[in-house]
Amino acid sequence: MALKLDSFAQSIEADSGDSVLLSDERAESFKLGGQTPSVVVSPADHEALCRVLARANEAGLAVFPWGGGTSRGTGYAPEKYDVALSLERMSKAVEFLKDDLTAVVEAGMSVEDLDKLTNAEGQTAGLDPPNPGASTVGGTIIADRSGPMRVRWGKARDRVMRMKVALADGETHTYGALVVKNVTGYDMNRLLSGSWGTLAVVTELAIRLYKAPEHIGALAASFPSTDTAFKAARALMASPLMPVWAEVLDDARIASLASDDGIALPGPVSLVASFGDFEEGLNDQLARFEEILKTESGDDILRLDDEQTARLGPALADPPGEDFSGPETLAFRASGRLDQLPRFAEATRRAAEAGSYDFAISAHAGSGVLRCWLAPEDEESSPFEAWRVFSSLCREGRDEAQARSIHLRLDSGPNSLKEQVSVWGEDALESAALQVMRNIKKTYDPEGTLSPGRFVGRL
Amino acid sequence: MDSAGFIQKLTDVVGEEFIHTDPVALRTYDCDGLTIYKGIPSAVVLPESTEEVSQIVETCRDYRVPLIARGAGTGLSGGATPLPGGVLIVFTRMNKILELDYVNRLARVQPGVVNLHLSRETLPHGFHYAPDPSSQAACTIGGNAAENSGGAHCLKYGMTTNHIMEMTVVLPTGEVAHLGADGEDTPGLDLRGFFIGSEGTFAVITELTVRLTPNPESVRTMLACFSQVGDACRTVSEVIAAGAVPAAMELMDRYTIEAVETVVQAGYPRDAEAVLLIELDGLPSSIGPLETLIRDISEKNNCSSFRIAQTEEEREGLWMGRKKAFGAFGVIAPTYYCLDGTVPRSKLAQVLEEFDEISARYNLRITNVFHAGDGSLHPNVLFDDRVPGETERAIECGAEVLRACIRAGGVLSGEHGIGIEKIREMKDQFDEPTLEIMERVRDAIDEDGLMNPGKLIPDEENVFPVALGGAVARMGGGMTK
Repeated sequence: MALKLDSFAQSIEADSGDSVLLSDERAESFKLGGQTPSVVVSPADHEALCRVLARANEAGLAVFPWGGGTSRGTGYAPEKYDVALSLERMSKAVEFLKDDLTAVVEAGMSVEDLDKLTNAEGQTAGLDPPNPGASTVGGTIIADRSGPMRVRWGKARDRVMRMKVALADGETHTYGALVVKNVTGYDMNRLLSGSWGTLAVVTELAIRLYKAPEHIGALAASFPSTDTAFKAARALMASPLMPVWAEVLDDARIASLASDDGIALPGPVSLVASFGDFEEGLNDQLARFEEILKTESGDDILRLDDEQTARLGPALADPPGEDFSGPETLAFRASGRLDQLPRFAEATRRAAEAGSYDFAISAHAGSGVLRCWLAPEDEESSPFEAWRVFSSLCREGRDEAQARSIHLRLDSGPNSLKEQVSVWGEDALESAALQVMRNIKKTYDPEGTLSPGRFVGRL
Repeated sequence: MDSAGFIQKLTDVVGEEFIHTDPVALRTYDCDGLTIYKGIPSAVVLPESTEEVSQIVETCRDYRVPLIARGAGTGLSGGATPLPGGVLIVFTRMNKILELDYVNRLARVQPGVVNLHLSRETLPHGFHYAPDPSSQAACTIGGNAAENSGGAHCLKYGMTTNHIMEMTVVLPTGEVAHLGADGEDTPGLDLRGFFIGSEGTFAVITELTVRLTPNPESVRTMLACFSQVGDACRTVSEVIAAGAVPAAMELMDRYTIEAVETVVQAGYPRDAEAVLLIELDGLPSSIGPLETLIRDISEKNNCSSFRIAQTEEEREGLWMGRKKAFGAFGVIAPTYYCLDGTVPRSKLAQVLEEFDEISARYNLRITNVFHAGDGSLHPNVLFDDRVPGETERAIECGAEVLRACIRAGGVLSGEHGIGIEKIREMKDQFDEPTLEIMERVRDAIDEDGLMNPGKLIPDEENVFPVALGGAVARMGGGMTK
């Protein structure tokens, strides 16, 4: 294998004139599941990337496409990890068709740069991965990283109009077109979005844009418990109001927002929702949301101005810092019907207690997704016990169909835990569905070159 | 093959009452809304449960007989037209709404539920099912999912795929799988999203969980009239570029206006070259400024009149014209061929000009009535199928129209699907590697090639011929009685 790697590295260097040798420091920044790659390659364009892939595929090397590395904590440890294929040099805007609300960009462009490009024309892509300065557009789509703003703009995968990809053997495909409505052939964009680099490497994307709202604003209110806050959130979602995001936060998450971002929300539990509209519409929506909050016994109602709202949105997508940033921190995710959120919150509390953890909760209350972070209280903390309690309580008392429809994911945690549990929540998938995924993987990547072992069912 | 044995097995699954093999009965099912291609199935079965569908699929697999699922047969691309000799699974009996969950804004339905019936049920509770194909009074939600159907209000609310959370499907192996979930974050590849719009070539859908959308608090419907089609198109492009998202934005050209006014008198001015039917919905406070913006853009582009419906009756009248447009074409020609090529919205004026040239070249009238806000065109080639050769000419004219869409950076289909209709043009749309991966992925899911064969992916051996005065097919592999 070492020989193959050497000859691969030499051929890439001969081709590009660039060194692919790694300093220890550089290797560290591409660490995945405790492993470092032998080689990092950063092709300058699509064609060069195809050549790299074809050579790696031929040499039987394992390649992990690499955007900003912001999702590195998720998934199983790689089965093997030879090459990190960095998109860092492919970060240019290809075409900005502002009249068609379409931006065509290279996959390695950061979401922040895409925002700068589109915001200058009063438009937005509505993508909200954590750390948008580092997260790339390609990575956000390929991992389908959708944050709180999905209530208004849909999931990240809904934004893809056209995709240019390189297959493991270096072949190029283009899926979709620069149109907003398209049922021409299979929806390959959706197959690739959320495939976590297991099928192909996305190199260029056409992203559907929206007009950024003229005015934005938000209201927060305190609630005595997560249950009451979730109930208020359901009332909001059943109303004709159109929030951009609606988030329920517990006291720990409120505290981290105050210390990390200087945003003080009322506790112990906050429901905070933002709106974007023309001025008249915004004021009306905020006034009516205030009514809902009062009816639902929300207290300490706080109005956030446009600057605060613009700052809070991305902060909500980030994981809490400081107390929840240690290497032993766990991040769990549960997804289900809106009225399951209180159950997920209770499961978090009991899991933290059982495993000796401090915890923070942030839930996309309009989308039925709860995220929680658990930081060890002491050396006795047991990640396995925490996950066991969390997963069993999230589904407890549900019949088979209901349990199947609740999905859990270990967003990040130690490898020792990942070795023992269903990281992606694939235990809820039927074997027939998993087999279809395996068949598709085999069709795209018969040699198992791309991201082996990391994704669902260790594809 | 033991035909009698095969039919007996199917009969054992659904019962004698729910299987048709009589040639006269079978003829009823020989095509969907695309009537120029036909095929007679060997049997039509009407299952009542997922379990029965699973047994039907297994039986077809055992006997290597192709199977085709059909909702209401309103599709316009031939997706539900049976391969001659195949088994048609019809969902008329699987038409129950299984659960209405207003707290979570979800409905669980069987695939044979008629699109509009679901909204009728939920409207009084403050919700509706947003995707609204023109055939919504007849088409089924299962069929909508198989085709990823669109509709006038998809401009604001998205296509069918944006409204389906979970599907129960029977895979080609007969196994049952659940794709997607009640929640948004699901593990693994997005098979839900990938199977929606796969036109029955991957699996048979037997149950769906769909999103319910809160009813808009107010609706404003307006009609902008223009003496140049180009002005109407520019209005659409500028409204979109300004970031305004109406609930619907429909364009009708002068032939359509003429036909509509002759048949239903919707109140469209007969001297206009084009009208835009625009609908805004939402909170009154939000749509007020939008209305002003759209009026300003229309006036800037020389609109000759701008009218806002003042009463519900007036609003319904304006929509009546749009909804009856296709039927009204009968006053111009006996038959029409409706295409659904889609282009970037900034290219609308350019492609409509090209359609005029194509129309002149083929000496066939092309009318336009379409979802302009999405760039989702509906050019209708009008022809007389009684005139020898005219059907073939209309089909060739249609292909030319689609190629014009592709040249403008657009696609063959925005909402009707490929089916049989546009299968030949897939090679104009996609390069070989891209088409090949679609074919390989299909083969990986349906190893035996029994799921709705002859659709979507071009294959020289598997092309439905044009049916002129009856169904004749040169398909292999199907069972004939």
